[in-house]
Amino acid sequence: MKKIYLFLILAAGLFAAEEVTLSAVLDKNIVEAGDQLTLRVSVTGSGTPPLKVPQMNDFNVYNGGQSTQSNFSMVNGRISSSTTVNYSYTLSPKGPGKFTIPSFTVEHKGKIYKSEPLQVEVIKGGSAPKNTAPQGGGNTPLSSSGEIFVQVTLNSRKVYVNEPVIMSFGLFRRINILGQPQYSPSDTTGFWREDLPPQLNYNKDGYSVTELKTALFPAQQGEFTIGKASLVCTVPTQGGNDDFFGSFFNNGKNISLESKPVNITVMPLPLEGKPADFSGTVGRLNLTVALDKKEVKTNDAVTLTVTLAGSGNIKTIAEPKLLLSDEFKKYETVSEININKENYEVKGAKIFKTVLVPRKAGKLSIPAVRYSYFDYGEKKYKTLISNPISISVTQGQKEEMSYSSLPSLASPEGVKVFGSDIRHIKQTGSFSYGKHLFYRSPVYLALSILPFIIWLALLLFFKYQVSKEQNIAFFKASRAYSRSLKCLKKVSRDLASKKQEKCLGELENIFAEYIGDKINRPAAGLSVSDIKSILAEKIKDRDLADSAAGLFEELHFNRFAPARKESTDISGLASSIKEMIIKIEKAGL
Amino acid sequence: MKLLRVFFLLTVVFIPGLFAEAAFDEANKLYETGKYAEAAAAYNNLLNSGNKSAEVYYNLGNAYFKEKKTGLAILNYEKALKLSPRDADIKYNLEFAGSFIKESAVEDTVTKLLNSFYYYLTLNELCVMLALAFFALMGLLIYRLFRKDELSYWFTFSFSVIFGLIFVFSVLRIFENENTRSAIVIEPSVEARAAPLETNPASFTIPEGKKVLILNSRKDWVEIFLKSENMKGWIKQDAIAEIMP
Repeated sequence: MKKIYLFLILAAGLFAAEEVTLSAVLDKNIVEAGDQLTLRVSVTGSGTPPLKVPQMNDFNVYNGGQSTQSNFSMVNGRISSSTTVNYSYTLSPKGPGKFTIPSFTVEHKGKIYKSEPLQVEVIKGGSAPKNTAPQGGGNTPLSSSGEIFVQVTLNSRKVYVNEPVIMSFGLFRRINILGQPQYSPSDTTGFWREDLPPQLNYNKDGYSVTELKTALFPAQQGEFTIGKASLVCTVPTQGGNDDFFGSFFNNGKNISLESKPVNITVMPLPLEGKPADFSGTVGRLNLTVALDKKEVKTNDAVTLTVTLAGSGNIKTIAEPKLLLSDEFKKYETVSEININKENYEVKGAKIFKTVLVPRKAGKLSIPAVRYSYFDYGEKKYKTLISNPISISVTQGQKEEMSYSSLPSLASPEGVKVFGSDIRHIKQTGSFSYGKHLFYRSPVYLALSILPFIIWLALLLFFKYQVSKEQNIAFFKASRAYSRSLKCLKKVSRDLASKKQEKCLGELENIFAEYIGDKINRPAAGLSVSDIKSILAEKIKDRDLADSAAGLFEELHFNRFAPARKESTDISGLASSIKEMIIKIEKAGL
Repeated sequence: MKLLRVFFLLTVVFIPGLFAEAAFDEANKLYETGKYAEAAAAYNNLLNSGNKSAEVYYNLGNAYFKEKKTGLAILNYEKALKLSPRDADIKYNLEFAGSFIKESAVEDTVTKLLNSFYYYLTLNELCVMLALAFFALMGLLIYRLFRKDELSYWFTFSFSVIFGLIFVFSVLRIFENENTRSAIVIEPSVEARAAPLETNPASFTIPEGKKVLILNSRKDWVEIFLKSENMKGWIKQDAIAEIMP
């Protein structure tokens, strides 16, 4: 069953590398109260998003650590990578009953992936069928023939989760074997394996022993059985026969050798003394923290190297947390693993490298790195604390300088935006009580129309004024002819009774007023030259204008020349004025 | 008696302003201590008492935004922008809040530029400008009744052109103001139906904060129009709020 699940997980990891797949598997569905369950959750995908653990109130939950496997595949030139993170949890039910373990969820690129919920039945102790039936001790060497046998031994039968166990597969023989034996190793489901070469040869109790060692790291707690390992080899048909021909021609017979399965108890990590920041790592470790440069400029990168070296399951060492201030820009941590298998022990180091970029100048400090792990040798939790590292940062090249010196390159970083938000509220407000729209208000409309009304009124007033003036002139002009004739008649009638002097003045007035009315000018101001030029312009008849001016001049002369008064023919003058007026009227003045 | 009347008049004129100032500061303090819901209520009180102000609408929009009520935030930014259309902060926050709704059609830069030009002045400012241009034109015409010189002729000519442009502009804006009713969707993903009936199936959904035009209303339903998507539908009246500062 477990194998199928494992296969499914792997298959899912291979075929759906872009997606994230999530599966949760229980080692058993029926459990006795007081017994423990192991829950394994695998997250496979292109990224390794953090796992959200649901609330499980019916169980005491112990974290059994996590392990990471990476898988790169290249199909038709396309490289896909997937990472599988295995989490293991130990659950101990709080009481009997039927329980459901809710879904584990993972959020990746906005999508939420869920695992199937699992059913668990917890029965009261005693009658539960155990799926790990106890089997006979596999430590005692048993032989099928006594001449040749295999056995599997463990250096410890009771270990903590993730504590290394050395499994030795030994081939004990007194006879020669022919050819290369075929070895199929034991089923070690539930353990991480590390093969520990080379094979070991020694003699013991008269047996020639060939031993293969493997380090096992239990991934979860519980009772486990290391399955039987088998070896198929060819032995001579007559064991121990030194007959040359016999051995020479004898092809031997195939025998299959099997070891006894071995039980192992994996204990959960103790609860007492568990540090709050426990990483889940089990091993015997040392911590070193180093920085590649101690003096840098701002915006130059430095590499912080955190090395966890020692023995244990190096691959599953969890990443230490770096508590860096905002003074540094931190890039993603990359890790590399060195494993050394000398002296049949898994040793090595996991090196975490983080690129940091100091953002400001000055003396900056990288705080101490704390790392808590479980030491399986001393069987207790330990916390490693490094020394803080100080780094002096000088101001790097200014942005403007890089602009001027490298005009073709854009500045590497201009304004750095860390996050955007709305702008802050305004502190002062301008208030207007019941603001309304101007165009709707009658005051606005009235005010707008007001200058138009003023303009219109003024315009009309001027128009009226002009028309009134023009009317007077027209009236005068149109009546000038008949009025002057009437006046002339009156003068000639009064001629006998009046003085000559007075009559002459009246005659001159009549003529001047006629012309003045016609050209809309006051009669008193008219001069001879005025009459000449205005008449010449208006009636286009120079002779007539000249004669009219001449007549006017004569009238003027008669009036102010008393010497000639007696000889003046007033009635003749009157008739010549009459003729002139008629002529001018006919000319169209 | 007369003194009392003067005092009363002063109170009526000045006290509301002073009260508004104090209430505004009070609400700002609430906002700055992170009590966004209380701050929003205080700003609303201030507005309901008749104090219309772009700043209050803007701050109210901020309070709603912090409360994750994007629709109401956008509504109040729009109102603030109507009162103060050149305020960069209001524009920025409106755009910022707008980026949280998934717009299917994004305005291109030319439209944006034209819009910002078209709405550069408030309607009242435009009206004042129109009146001033008219005053100047009429003044020139009156001057020309008395004296007709060449300089005044060219002045009159240019002012009539200016006045004509502003007049056309104002008429367009006034018509728009009188005839279009814009509103903001204030409820998350509102379903629009083809007919104002609850039983009618939804034909599309509108995200919160989207600007819509109101075409018709019937009882508690309104017919809305999405300009950029060119879609019509009926939604419930209380899912939207009109932009009417």
